[in-house]
Order: sequence, then C-alpha cells, then structure tokens
Amino acid sequence: MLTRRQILFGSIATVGAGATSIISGADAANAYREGFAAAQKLAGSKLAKSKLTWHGKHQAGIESRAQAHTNFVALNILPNITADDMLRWMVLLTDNISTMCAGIPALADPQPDVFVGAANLSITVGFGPSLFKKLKLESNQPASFDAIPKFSIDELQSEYCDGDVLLHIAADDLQIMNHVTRTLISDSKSFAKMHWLQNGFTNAVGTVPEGVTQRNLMGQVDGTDNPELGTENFAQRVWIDDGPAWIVGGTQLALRRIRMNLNTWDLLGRTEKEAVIGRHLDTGAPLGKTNERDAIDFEAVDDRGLKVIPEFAHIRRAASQNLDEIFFRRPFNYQVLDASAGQLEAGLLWTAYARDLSKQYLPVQRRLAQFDLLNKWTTPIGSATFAIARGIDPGEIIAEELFS
Amino acid sequence: MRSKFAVALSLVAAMTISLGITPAATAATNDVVVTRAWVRSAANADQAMMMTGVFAKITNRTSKTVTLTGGTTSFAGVVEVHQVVDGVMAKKNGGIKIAPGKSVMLQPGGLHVMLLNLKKKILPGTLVDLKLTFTGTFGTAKSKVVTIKNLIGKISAAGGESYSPSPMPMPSMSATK
Repeated sequence: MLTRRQILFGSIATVGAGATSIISGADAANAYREGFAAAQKLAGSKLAKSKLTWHGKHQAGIESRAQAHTNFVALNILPNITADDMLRWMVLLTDNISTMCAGIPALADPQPDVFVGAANLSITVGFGPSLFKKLKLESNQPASFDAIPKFSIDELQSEYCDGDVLLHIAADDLQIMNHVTRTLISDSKSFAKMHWLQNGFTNAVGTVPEGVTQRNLMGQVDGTDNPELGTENFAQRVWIDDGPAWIVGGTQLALRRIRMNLNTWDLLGRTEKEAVIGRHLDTGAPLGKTNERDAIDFEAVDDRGLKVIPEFAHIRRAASQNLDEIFFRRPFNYQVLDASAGQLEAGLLWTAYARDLSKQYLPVQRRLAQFDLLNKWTTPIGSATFAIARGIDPGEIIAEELFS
Repeated sequence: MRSKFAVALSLVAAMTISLGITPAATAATNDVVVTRAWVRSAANADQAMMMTGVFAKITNRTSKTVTLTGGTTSFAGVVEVHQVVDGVMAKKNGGIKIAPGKSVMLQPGGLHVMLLNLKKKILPGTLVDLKLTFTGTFGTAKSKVVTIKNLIGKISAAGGESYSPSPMPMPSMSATK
C-alpha cells in the first residue's frame, strides 16, 4: 500500500529525473516485454529443439536417459526379401534417422507440419535371430546370440514375441514419437509387415529432477544398480568390441514384456512390499540403509536374528553373483486394456542390454525363474532378442556390412 | 565387394544433400543449390508407363534469374521439366525459372522433374544419379550442371497424380470439378 508520502516522493523523483528518463523507462519496459515474450516463445519450443546425437560409434537410444514415450516395433520381412532389399530398406531408415533426429521432417513426409522438432528423438535398429536364419546370415551373428529359452515362469503370448527387425523409437513428445513411428513404418512397407508394437512411457521431462531413478508402476525405483552412463564400466558391459564389423559398437537386447498383477500387489502392506523387493519404497535404499545407492548388506541381521534383506527378496536373487552378470536396464512402463477381464493391465517393457546376453543376463534370469517372491505378482508375457547394429557416421548406412 | 564400397562412398553425398548440410555450408554465392531431393519409386518391379517424378528444393543464390531446363541420368532416356496446372501434367516449356535469392519447391502435384523412358528399376531405397542443367549467370559461364549423386527412391502417396503420358487429368482433382 502506497502512503501519501511515498507518492509525493515518487512524483518528485520522476520530475527530478526529467522527461527523458520517463521515455527511456518506457522503452526499457517495452524492450523488457518484447524480450520476455521472445524468451517465453523460445522456452515454449525448447523441448522440440532438444536433440540427441544420432551418429557415432553407438546407436542412440541406449546410453541415455529413457525418454518419456516409446514404441518398440517388431517387423517380419516379406517373402523373397533378399539382403540386397534389406540394404535398400536400411538406406531409407538411415536417411530418416539422419533427418528426423536432427529435427528435420523426413524426405517426402506427407504431413511434415506435424514434425515440429526432434524432442530428444532416438531411433534404434536391431535384428532378431529369425532374420539371420531367413537370410542365411547366421555366420554374421554376434557370438552366442540367440532367442531366450522359455522359462517356467513365462506365459508367453506369441503376439509379443520374437521378430525379424526391431525399430525402437523414443522421444519426449508423444505426438512427435507417434508421427515418427508412422513415417518409419510407411517407408518399411515394401520390405516388411509389423509383427507387434509395444508402447511404453516414463515420466515427462521436468516432473522429476534429472538423475532420479525412475519408478515402475509397482512404485519401486527401477534401475539403481545400472552401470553408470558414459563410464568405462558401461562400455565393457554393453558395447560389443569383437566380431563382424556391423556389430562392433553394437549390443544385444533382451526385451521382456512383464505383466504386473497390481490388483493383488495393491493388497500388500508397505512393509510387505518392501520385504518382497528388499528396498525401502520411498528412498529406494536397501532395507536397513538410508540412501538409494548405499551398498547392499546381504548378511545384516535384525535383533531377532533374521536377515534384514529376506532370502526371498528380489534384490538378493537378482544381484549379480560375479562381475560377468552385469548388464544395463532401460525399462519403460506400459498400461493397456485387458478386454477379457474388463480391467487395466499394467507392466514393464523390461530391457537388458549386454555385450553377451548368454553370459550376462541368462544366469540372472535362470535364478529369478527358480525362485523370486516377486514372481507372484509379475509374469513375463512377451520375449524377444535383437542384435543392435553399431552406430554410424554421416554417409554410412546402418548394418551396411551385414547386408552387403 | 567393390561396387558395394562405391555405394557407401556415394551415399555420403546423398546424405549431406538430404540434410542440407553441404549446400548451406560450402556452396559459393554464385551458385544454385539443390536440397531435399528424392525420386518417386514404384512398389513393384515395373514403373507405371516407364516414368517417374523427381522432387527437391532448389535455391538460386546468384544475382540473376536461373532456369532449370532439364538433365540426365543413367536411369532414364529423357529428363524433362514438368508442371501440373489445373490437374493436368504437361512439359513446362521454357523450363522452371527461379528468381535471384529465391527457392522453388518441386513437389508432387506441382512443378517437378520427369524421368522418362526408364531403363532401370527405381525401387524404394534405390539410389539414383541425376544431373540437372541450369541456364543463368554463373561467373562467366551461362549454364551449370548440378550433380546429385544419390537421389533416394521413396514411395509417396502425396499429390495423387499418376505418371501416365501427359497431358492427363488427375483423378483426384477432376472429381471435384
């Protein structure tokens, strides 16, 4: 509230400063308003302008934060498709990747106006064991690459399993991500038909601080023990450094669609949920510890002599038994209609990226299939593996050496 | 293996052209720049009536009007400059004129370059060579040939025209008249 005295002093000050200062003040105010509007406009499209590097030793979409939206798409090649046809397909995909990831609409996009920017778009291309068989390219597979054997806990549905070619699209804008998906599928229709599409999500940009581990729909932090992005450790676990040229710098991916029975999970108390996992729900810290990244003490016992982290806890069963059993997870959540039950179905598009799935991932999965209390509330219903080609430099074609 | 290596090398040019990096960064001011170039491919082995269209953005960076008059390719016997007017596709006599500092879009349903008497299949992802001929003032020269090493064959439904012998009414547009 202004007092009479302040008004008086104010008016004196204005007069004292002279007419010019009043005009320049108005100019300054205008400039400020215009600058503010421009800044606001810029901020409004900041996400659209955000780009990931699409070229280099490795394909994008793996060693980076999981974007808000994703489509994993598997395609099966049409009959009579040859390696030569595959190379033409890769030319189209490579051109699409190099343009759209740079924020430019794809060539001949019938709706280029929908593509307002990259929004951290990544497009990752991989090949399933069935493709190598169909094209008789088994000798060019990465060592020990194969389909995942069926585990006793699996209730696999063929509509979420296998596939010749994987296109993994992810971006921080759902509309852009879906437009990109459609563009890639349109350019693929001379070569292959879609086999499945699995849509997934994480939090939007800006809703959780950067670097905070994401949560799955059971409420657990998911991915705490991952190799850190950008480290030598990550490279050693994930990136293939030996074998056919097209895969050196690539990796192997296991994609598991894991259905959660949230209806029964919801009935558990908070303490029970924490015991099943072996971590505190709020902080993500191992039971008995304070911080998410505190070292897990599997030997600790409480005052009754019971293990603080129960024998059945997921983190005990999932923990790597040796340094070979480390791989990288980059999960997305999913939620769809279960029409037969008239209920929601929720779960995880769970991923393991490893230099060699057979050595790093399969031993862990075998252990979990044997015994993990979490299996009571989770069921793998989809399973697929893909060999992810190395990254490319501008002018190169994805998996060029494989199909040449 | 030698021919495949050649594909890899020549694609460098195609990628940079479709990205618009090379022209923007290196083109001299006395020049004409072709970016975002592609050629319509056929889904099946045979191109309808042995012809197809080329689309691109062409920018005139010279200080005089330039005219796209035609070109050559190893894929076709004849390269012509065409336009679609009132739903009818026809050869554009006199070529496509581009004012100084301006760009034209060659796009389905509008101005485009026609490849006629196709000799080889253009499938999706096929890389096609093309030389475009321009007249104008390029330093002391009165004409210039722009080489596009690799146009990418792409299927596109846009435009609605089918490349039968011209002139012909386009079904999608004649229906509304």
